[in-house]
Amino acid sequence: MSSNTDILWIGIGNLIYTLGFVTAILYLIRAKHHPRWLLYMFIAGGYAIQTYGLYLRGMEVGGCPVGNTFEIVQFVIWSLTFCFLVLGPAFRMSLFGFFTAGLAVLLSILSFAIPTWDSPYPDRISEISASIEFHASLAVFSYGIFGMLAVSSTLYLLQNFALKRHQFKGVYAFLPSLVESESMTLRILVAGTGVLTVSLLVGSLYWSQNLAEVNGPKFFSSIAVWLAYLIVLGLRLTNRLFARKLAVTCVALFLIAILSIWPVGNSRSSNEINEPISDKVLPE
Amino acid sequence: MTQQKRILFCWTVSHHSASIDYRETISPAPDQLDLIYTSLYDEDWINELTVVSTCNRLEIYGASYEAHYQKLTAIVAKILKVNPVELFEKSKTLEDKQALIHLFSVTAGLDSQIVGETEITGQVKQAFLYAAKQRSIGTRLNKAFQKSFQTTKWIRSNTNIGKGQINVTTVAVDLAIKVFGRLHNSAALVIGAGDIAEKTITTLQSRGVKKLTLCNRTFEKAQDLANTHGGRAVPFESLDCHLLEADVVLCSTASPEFILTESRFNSFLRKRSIRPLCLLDLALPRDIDPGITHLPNIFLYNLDDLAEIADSNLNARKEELGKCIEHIEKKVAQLTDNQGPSGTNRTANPDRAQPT
Repeated sequence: MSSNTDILWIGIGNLIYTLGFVTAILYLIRAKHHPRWLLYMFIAGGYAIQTYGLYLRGMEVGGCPVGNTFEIVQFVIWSLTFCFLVLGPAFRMSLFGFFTAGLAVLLSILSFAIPTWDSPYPDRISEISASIEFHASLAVFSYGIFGMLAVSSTLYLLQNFALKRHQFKGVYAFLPSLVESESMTLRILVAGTGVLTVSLLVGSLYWSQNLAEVNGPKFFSSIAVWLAYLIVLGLRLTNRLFARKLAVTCVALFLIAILSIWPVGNSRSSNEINEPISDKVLPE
Repeated sequence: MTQQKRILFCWTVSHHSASIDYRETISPAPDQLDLIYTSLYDEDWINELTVVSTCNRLEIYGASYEAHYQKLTAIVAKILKVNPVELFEKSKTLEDKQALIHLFSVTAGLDSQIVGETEITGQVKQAFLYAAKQRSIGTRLNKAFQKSFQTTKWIRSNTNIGKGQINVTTVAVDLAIKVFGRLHNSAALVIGAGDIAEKTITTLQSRGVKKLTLCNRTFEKAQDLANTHGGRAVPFESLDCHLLEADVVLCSTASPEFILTESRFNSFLRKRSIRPLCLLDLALPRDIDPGITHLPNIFLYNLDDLAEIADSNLNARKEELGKCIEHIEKKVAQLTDNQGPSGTNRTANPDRAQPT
């Protein structure tokens, strides 16, 4: 779906995240620290502008803008920064904003670097299901939470590396403690898995009545991601997966989840283009 | 009879030239220290003698009319049961002004691994008192040591060399904070009841540690420490049980072998909670088997590690070094000028004849 205005606003929002990230890097190199409030302002500014861009896109497609890979990745970035803006000050973990901005920038570059991700898909028809929209937005929102989980896990891994290898200079000096990172990781894991579970429950109500409209690859991919996080949560709560292994698993799972968006998004786009418009009620 | 000038000399093996492994081998036990005193003082050419032995250095300060460093090294090597050639290669010798500057620097903590640390001053004072008890101190060493203490006091009061929280125990506790965040929910187990243990207990308590357990081979010493500083003393036999509950374990015993071996860890790690374990080995010889470093969720730091970490934090202090050295050189110059050209003060042992 190409629209100059929405893309422009989304792009500006992403650019502000990038500026915030670059500013923080420069601060860290020169002053060995970065003012957290400044980065927070950059992220908040970028978020506001990106929200407007996604709103324009949503108005254009007539629903939640999660219809192609580009939109899904942008929505993940939006969810990630939203979670940071809401939860970041509460966690008060140093470098949390820095790494959140870094992940947002990385995903942003990825989404703009592959133009085919923003492939056209048919406009939604007016009888769109509110429940499936809710399901879709919750599902993608959970990916944003899992993005934040990857950030907290990365902070854990870096601190673990620093403590094991005795690296305490530069950026390592500002890392949160291991126990704080792990505690945050558990809370985010619970939140992300909870949101995805609710999303799938809402989706299943629709799927159970419209089985023919279920997109196979997307369905199995969503179930696989949900199961994976559920198993990780179960293992963590029973103390069978923790510390470094938990952090590595969370980062790896997020990468797999993000990478799975692409083929799944492609499969759906091609299905939708080849199918009659009446079969494309299910946007997610 | 021509009066010959007496030399003030310093023979030193320190962290500058020897690794922690080697320093472990030359760290004298109390009986070996006594033997060093008696053996060296039996040497006719040595008039005065002080041995400073810390985790990071073995130093012999002396006053004599002639210096036989190879002979001195051979005696020390024989007592410590190490190769004399290797010991000699790792040793460094300084005389007169340079020896005094070195002594003042050591006492003020300028030569320490953790620059500006204060523990060394107390250790030098103890070494000096011990030598006085051995009656091996004469006017030359007495003046040198007393002046070094005065100079240290001036340096501490007038420069930033001692500013900030930088000493072994503080660095160690700060590392625990990097693992656990605040220590308000952490349990600490201190094994050993010496000076370092005492200082660490104070630091841990100042950081609000939730539970403090003290363990020592001699239970009474742990009990005394608990009575003075708080915490709970437990018998050494129940160590494994308390290791299970501990988040931070600090070892500072005089045990010649590892107290916490890899096999011991393997036996209790599975029973432990998933919380990380921070091990701080402040003993020399080391108390904790370094082989456990690879175990997940375990973070081990020994004296060398702590010193390395502290060093990186101490660049600001190092900027003060120039000012401190300048003051030391001034004081050393005053001392040597006052002692006159011959430096022939009364010796500790009046029977010792001056060579002709």
